[in-house]
Amino acid sequence: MSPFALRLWGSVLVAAAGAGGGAEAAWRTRRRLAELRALEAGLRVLGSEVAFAVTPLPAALARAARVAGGGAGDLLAAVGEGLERRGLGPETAWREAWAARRGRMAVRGEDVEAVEELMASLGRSHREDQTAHVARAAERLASVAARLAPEAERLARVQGALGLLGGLAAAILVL
Amino acid sequence: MTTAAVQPLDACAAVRSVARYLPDGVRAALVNLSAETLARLEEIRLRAGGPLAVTGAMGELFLTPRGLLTADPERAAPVGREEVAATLERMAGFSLYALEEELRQGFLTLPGGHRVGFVGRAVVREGRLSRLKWVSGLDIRLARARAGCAGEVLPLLLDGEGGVRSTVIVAPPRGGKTTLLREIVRLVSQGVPSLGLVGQSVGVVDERSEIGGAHEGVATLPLGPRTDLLDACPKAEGLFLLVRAMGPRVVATDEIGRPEDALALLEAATAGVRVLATAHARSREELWRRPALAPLWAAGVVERFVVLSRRRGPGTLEGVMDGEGRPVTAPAPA
Repeated sequence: MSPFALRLWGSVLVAAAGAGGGAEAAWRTRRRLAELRALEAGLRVLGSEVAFAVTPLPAALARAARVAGGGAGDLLAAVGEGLERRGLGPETAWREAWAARRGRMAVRGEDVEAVEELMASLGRSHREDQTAHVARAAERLASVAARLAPEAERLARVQGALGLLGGLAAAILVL
Repeated sequence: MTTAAVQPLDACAAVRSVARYLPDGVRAALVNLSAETLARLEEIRLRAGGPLAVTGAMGELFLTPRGLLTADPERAAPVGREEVAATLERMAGFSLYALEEELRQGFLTLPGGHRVGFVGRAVVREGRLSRLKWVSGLDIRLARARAGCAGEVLPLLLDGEGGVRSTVIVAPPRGGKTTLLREIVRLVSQGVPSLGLVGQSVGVVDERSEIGGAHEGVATLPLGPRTDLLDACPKAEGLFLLVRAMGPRVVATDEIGRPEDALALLEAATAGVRVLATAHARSREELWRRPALAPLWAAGVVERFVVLSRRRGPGTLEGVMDGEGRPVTAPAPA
């Protein structure tokens, strides 16, 4: 293969890698938003289970996890299992579940502060109080998601374009 | 309504099954108790800011951090407010909101039938106790199945036609009433061919979940193969429901005392169903004086009274009487 052809293939690969990196960053941003919304949906179910069915917390968390699905569902399910199988309190179960999963999830620590704070009071008071705590946490997640949504779309487009353009620029330099 | 499962519990298993809810310090002290002491243990008491206390055949004593019994509260393992709160949270499955009725009534029942009473700050609404908050004391009463404890009594309760007579077990609190009732239910359900007792369907209304020790509606204590358990249901409503829905030959319930309990039992008895029940009293005469239960005595449906005491430990048999109060004794062997 001629040196020019080699450079050509190299530049194509660099451009593809740049575009791929941008697409991955864009996908992570969209996933962060999706996980936030899934967590919020899970908390809404948790609130209903507490308020109307008076379901014990492990079972309520399991139902919330099924509705949330994906990484958020896995996180809520792990908290419920910590309660049910290991006798951990909600706060400890959350801390352990989050520590084990945060690397695989797109949501960040600051996004889920509301859930972390909820876990400190979950299951410790009467129904009206619990329902209010869960609703407040769900509202806070909704507000984080609402703030992130327009930015996420814009960021996703920018990250995708930057990746592609960066890759092309690198390819031109290689050529 | 569920069919009862059979899972016997021995003394050590009873303590083990509650130990997982207890604070580390209390658990460590209990682990060090001898098997003999464990077998005599009836209650574990946690009082916020107080000493760890246990009650049993040895009386009410305290437990040191190393698991030694002592009469000196100063040497006992201390129990903190946080430990009491955390214990209750674990017992509630971290779902105190799901136990509002229990928090109002002042007790809950753990899987295995162990009853936990609690005290704390009362919240009163419109002059009525709404619930308890800041729970400061727990009294854990260990439930256990004692296979064979009805051996002496059962022959005196049979009708000679393969069935059991309507019976009320009378004893003061912690006198062993529920344990004896549970064993009679198991034997009636299972049948005892050597006594001519035919196994028959038994319906149990277990308002406080102490007879079957049910967890999520399924009995964890042995109630026999033909037993249907209606768990956590008010007695009077439950008895009507069971008779209507399940057609039992025998119905059983714990701690009767209200007029509606007496009427429900009377209704069942006049429908041809035999009734087994327990009641708080020191004697048949004391029980007889309770006006709420008068319709039962007036109708003459109760054919046997079994009187228990704690004179030689819980479940000491003081006597068996017929409906007229005459002692019933075992027939002399031929």
